[in-house]
Amino acid sequence: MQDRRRFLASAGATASALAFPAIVRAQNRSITWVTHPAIFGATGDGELLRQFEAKTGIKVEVVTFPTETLAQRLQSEFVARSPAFDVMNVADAFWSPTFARFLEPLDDMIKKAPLPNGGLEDFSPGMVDFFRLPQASTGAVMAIPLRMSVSLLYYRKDLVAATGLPLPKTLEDFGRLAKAMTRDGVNGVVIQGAQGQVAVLDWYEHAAPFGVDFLRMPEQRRAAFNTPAGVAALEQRRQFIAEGIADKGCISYGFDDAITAISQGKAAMSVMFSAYWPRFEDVKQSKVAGQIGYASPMRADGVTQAYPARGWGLAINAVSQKKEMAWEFMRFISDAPQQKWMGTNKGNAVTRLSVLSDAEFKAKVPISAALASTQRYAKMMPSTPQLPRMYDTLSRHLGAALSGSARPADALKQAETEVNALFT
Amino acid sequence: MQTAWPYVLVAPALLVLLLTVMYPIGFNLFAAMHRWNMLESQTPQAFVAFDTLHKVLQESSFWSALRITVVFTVVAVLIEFMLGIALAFLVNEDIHAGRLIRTLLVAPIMATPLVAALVFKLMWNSQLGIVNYGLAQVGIAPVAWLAEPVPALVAVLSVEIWHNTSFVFLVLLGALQMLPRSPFEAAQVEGATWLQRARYIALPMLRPAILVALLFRVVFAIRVFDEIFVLTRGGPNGATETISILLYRSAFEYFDAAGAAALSVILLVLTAFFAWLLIRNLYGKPT
Amino acid sequence: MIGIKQSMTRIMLTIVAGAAAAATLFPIVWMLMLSLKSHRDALTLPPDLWFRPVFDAYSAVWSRAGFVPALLNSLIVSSATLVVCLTVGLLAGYALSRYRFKGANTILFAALATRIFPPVALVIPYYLNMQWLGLQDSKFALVLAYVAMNTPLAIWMLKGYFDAIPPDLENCAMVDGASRWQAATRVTVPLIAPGIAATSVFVFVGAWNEFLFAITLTSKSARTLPTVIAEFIGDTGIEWPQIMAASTIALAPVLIATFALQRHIAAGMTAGAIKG
Repeated sequence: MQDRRRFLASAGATASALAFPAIVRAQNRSITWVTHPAIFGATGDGELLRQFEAKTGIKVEVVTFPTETLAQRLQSEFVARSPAFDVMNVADAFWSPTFARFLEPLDDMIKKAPLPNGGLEDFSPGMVDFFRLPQASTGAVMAIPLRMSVSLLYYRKDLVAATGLPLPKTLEDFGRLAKAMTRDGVNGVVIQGAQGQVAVLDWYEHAAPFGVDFLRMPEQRRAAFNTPAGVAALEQRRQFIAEGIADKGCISYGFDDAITAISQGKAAMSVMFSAYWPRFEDVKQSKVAGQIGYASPMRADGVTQAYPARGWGLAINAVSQKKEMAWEFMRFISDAPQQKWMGTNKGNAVTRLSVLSDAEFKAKVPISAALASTQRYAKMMPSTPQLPRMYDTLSRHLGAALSGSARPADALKQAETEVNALFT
Repeated sequence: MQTAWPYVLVAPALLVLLLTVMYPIGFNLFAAMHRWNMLESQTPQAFVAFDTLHKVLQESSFWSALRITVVFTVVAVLIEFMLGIALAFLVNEDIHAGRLIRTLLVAPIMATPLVAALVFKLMWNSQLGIVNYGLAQVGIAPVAWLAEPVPALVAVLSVEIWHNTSFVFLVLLGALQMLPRSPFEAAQVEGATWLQRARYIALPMLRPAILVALLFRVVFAIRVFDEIFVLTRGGPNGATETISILLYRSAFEYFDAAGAAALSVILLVLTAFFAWLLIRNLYGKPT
Repeated sequence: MIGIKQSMTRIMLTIVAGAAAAATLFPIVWMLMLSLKSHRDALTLPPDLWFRPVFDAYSAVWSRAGFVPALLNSLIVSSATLVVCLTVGLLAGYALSRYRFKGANTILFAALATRIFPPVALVIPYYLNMQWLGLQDSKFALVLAYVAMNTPLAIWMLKGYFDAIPPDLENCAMVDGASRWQAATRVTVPLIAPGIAATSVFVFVGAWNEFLFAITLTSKSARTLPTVIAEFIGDTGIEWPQIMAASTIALAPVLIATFALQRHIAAGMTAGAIKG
């Protein structure tokens, strides 16, 4: 009796000892994803994450931060070398080679467990290359684009029709249309002139399609924006404000102000990021739901990278202890079916080109036609440690030109000198 | 009386401050003397003594920011003080619904600064704001408040003053409510008017409270960030760009620990200067 | 009380004070209005003053993941900060007021100096400290930071209020046989009650609305209100009704508590009643 009991006891103990690591591992299959509420909302407040857990057994814990402070928080985590966050959303606004050093290079993971349904080729090249280190098609992939927009032309269908003019193909067309629509208390166009990155990027959206680069590629050490096209775009903006085609308040407008101006019916047209479209179609938010048209913004022939692509990528923390699981999650959430779900149901900006031709997507998402002709011309944003200072310099000079205290040509020339000085 | 008691009593306060704040301040003074990008390296990259400070002082944006910070602080604190003390005297009288009015006058401090700034941003919006709407009703053309230098400063000051007059008000009210009755009754008997009683009896007795109110208002106003950032981001063209905004940019956009530390030290010196002025004139004088 | 008795003057003063209160209240009322309309109607000009309120924003905020926990965290953190700060502040303020000792002024000005240093520069070193101690994302780390941030103000204010009460009162009580502790707590402290109330408002609100340290030090379990409120500003725009609703919800308890607190404070009318 005693022996059998002892035997059973020790057998039980051995069995548990053998099973214990597996149990622990099974219980510990969870990763932490740090992101912001809009992206979490796009997953259906975790609906897709539950699907992922059901499929793989990996639980995804989500921590959200306000959009504008996510960069600050990530910076603190990196400085502290903290492994608390496994997967993180990174934005072009704070992307730089310095930042990228804290992320796990993904090429090996892509080789071992490739992205399904077409792999990296299914993503717009401009968007993928942006997250490479160095920024060239041969660079190492550091993040996968997840919620990225290109610039689109938003216009009031009724007001454009009333002028009888076609959709603009050149900068002059754009100016003419804006002027024609400025009447009866409506501004033909709304632009964003708020101090800082906002004004710079808004100008860039009108200059890049005509071949203007911020910095000379690929070294990214000399300013390249002081060209006739760059000056023309700046001069047009100055004119818009000076002639009242854009409300004077535009000098202080950020994207929320611009969106509000259009949805309250005060402005007729703007070039803005594609991610904003749901705000115009929601009757609770917009007075012009159903009246907004979407099209590719004007572009010069032959410019293949024309429309600045901005937004969020997904990356893995270099000191994460759960990299394989993190990669599994990234493969899932950036896959075509999930992107389609987020795009059709939650208006998320999709980064996979195959989704753009999906029938359900085309039926439910009003910008799909415009996206189809725009996304493949996505233009990569630059990435260099001097980027914030470059934006600040440009912002100051662009602002001076907008308010009329400097001539556009002089402003850009002065900015060019100062930006070049940053790299010496 | 030289006992150990006072030291025992202040020990907890000192302990808390030492544990939490002293190290970061020391850290900053240390960082200010080095070249250090916190993302590039976990330790300072080079010892440059006062070079960083020198570089910061050379940027034109710094001097403009200094001027704006000083103007903003002085105007804001002055107006807050005048409004606050007037309100404190007013409400201290035996008015009806005193408790309710007192609470309402303190309400602005309790509002989330970020959201209060958003409300004001909407109010000053040139196309959708209530201010321009009101002006239009009386026939005045709309002003692009946030898009022009001086109006933008007015807008930014309006948030600050609205938000913080309550502070001055409450500090002074607390002190007023604690004043003894007898000197006032005696003066009243001798025929002094309300104004004379207020000016010659109450005001001197309020001096310590006034010092606290002004001192801390200066300390906070010099550092204002959220309200300005939300309203104008420092624009238009740097017209509302204070040292705080430069500091934020250094710390969170350039990731430049040394630059941020240098600006912090400058801000510290500037504030200490104002504090010295106030303390010299208001501290410890006999009542 | 400077003493104005005539009822006509009382009424006039009430009107003026009421007007000031109304002007002060305007942005808050506007905030409330914005929260009770749909996004589209909220931003419309001219504003519709006789509107039917819509409570969608409020239900969206209440049901938002993390809002209620953040509200509770804020209550806990701010209350703890208040209690510790008042304790520390009363002790130090009393000492600085009643005793002449070496280093008294140094302490006062050192405390002020810590407050002068901009928090932006302090937050990352503090965060690294807390990380090293294993206290990141803890309410304790936040309370510690907030106590440090608010103690200088508490010390200065309370010292000032103690200064306004003559030490004779305590001395009389001690002559009558009370210990210093009893004299202080039974005689002086009740007299500075309005001052303690004012200090409490600032300390509590200082912790309640603080944003920078909250963002840097918390992730999930210690998250407070300001972070959640800021989340209504997204990468495609601001959710106006929701952020206004969240802010109103954050404002209400503090406002009500302040109003209720005043009931329990005698309005200092008994100050100056020196016996004998």
